[in-house]
Amino acid sequence: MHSRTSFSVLIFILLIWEILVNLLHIPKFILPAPSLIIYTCFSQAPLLLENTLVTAVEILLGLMISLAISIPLAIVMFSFPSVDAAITPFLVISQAIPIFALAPLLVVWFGYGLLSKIIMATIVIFFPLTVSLHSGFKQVDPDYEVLFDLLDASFWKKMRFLYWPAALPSFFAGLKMAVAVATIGAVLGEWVGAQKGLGYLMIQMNARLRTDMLFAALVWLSAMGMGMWLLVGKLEKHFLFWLNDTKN
Amino acid sequence: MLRVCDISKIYSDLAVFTNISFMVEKGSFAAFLGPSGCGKSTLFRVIAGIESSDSGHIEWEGLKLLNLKENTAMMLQKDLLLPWFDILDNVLIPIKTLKRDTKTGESEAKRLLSRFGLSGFEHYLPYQISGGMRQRAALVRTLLFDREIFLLDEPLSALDALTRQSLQKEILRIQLEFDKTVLMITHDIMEALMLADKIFLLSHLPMRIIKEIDLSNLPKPRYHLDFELAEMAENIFFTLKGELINA
Repeated sequence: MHSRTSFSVLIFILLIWEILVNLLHIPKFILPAPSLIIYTCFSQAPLLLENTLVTAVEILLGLMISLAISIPLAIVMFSFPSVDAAITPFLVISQAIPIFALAPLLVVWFGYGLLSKIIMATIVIFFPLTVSLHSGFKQVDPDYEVLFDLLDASFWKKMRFLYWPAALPSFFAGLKMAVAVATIGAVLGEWVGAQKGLGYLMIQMNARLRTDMLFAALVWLSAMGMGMWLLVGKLEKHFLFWLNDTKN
Repeated sequence: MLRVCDISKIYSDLAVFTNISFMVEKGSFAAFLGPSGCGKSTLFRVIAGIESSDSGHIEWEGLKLLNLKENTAMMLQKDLLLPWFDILDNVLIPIKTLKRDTKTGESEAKRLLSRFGLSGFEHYLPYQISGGMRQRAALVRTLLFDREIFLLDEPLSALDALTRQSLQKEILRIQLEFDKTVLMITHDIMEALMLADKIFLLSHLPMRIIKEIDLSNLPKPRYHLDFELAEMAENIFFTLKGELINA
């Protein structure tokens, strides 16, 4: 029902846009009509796909590295409050520095290839992942801990049976947010300096006044972001079967 | 024999209880009745070793101990079934955590689940069964701790009257059949009178035992309509009411 409403709103906006562009004779390098953008999306599909794959790889690798850092970090922060207190200010600082300011530096340090973009995506993703997982661990009902304390359960037993599953809803909320913002990191990196990717393509097309192509790249980028978001949603439903069913 | 000797619990400037002492016969049922917030749950947490005591000690079968962590299983008002595990996996938590033989544990768990009317529900998730069934599953899990002492902290207070009565019978059956020493906190005077061999009436903070009622000479099962019980219930009610007014 909601998706049908969203689709209707989108169609309405596109129709108004199409009519206005034609009525006002707006040049296509300023604002192309939706019909032209849709045509470009399909006619330039091979080029767009090639660049989308590069951006997707950057994001996925960034996501994997973030997971490899975030999960152990959240566990350590949870089990050692002193580490939590020591690391949290740095985590906050890492997010307070605008990624725009870091992008040129990372390109200088790690080059025009994939690496600088992967690091950029990692910086954007790892914060929401770490924070959401850590707060998920902390939100466990203390009465459950009593149950395991009576059994003299080790930390890892508690982690396996209690903390990890209890933190999953919060973790997936963070993961959804992370994949949604991950494109920002990767595309920013590509804007500053890259040889391929949707961000690189946007810069190239902007310089050639191919605004239709720029919009087409945006459409592909949005589709990719939406695809990743939906994939995480599917994983969430699979792993949180007990939560989904309770809601139903 | 369980002997609690002069134990105290003091939080910075708040004395929850000081030098509290009582005795409970092995294999008997003791109920603790007292006003809300008087420190009953804290007393149980100290006995169970979840919190440390500030003084005193506990004796169990002649052994002097700081707490009874290794001898107790505890059941709270919440069933504490983990929502991500099915009923069987939930009741198997003690077996898996204590590294007991899983195969034997599983067959024992299935046998107990069947005994408590949960056969066929082993692979249901907690939210898929009723509150009474969840609490029965929690009872099975408590049994699988395989400990001699049961600390029950208002385990039936969230249930409706009918389910509550049926679970009272289950608890009594467990105590008699498995020879458990049961200590139970309740706010229901009649529940205490129906189940207990000994009732401790507790005061407001700092908690102390204001009266000890021995019911060991009254045979079980007991009935709500029993005149003697009704009279006792009234006496207990007025004692506790007086305590509340004095507080």
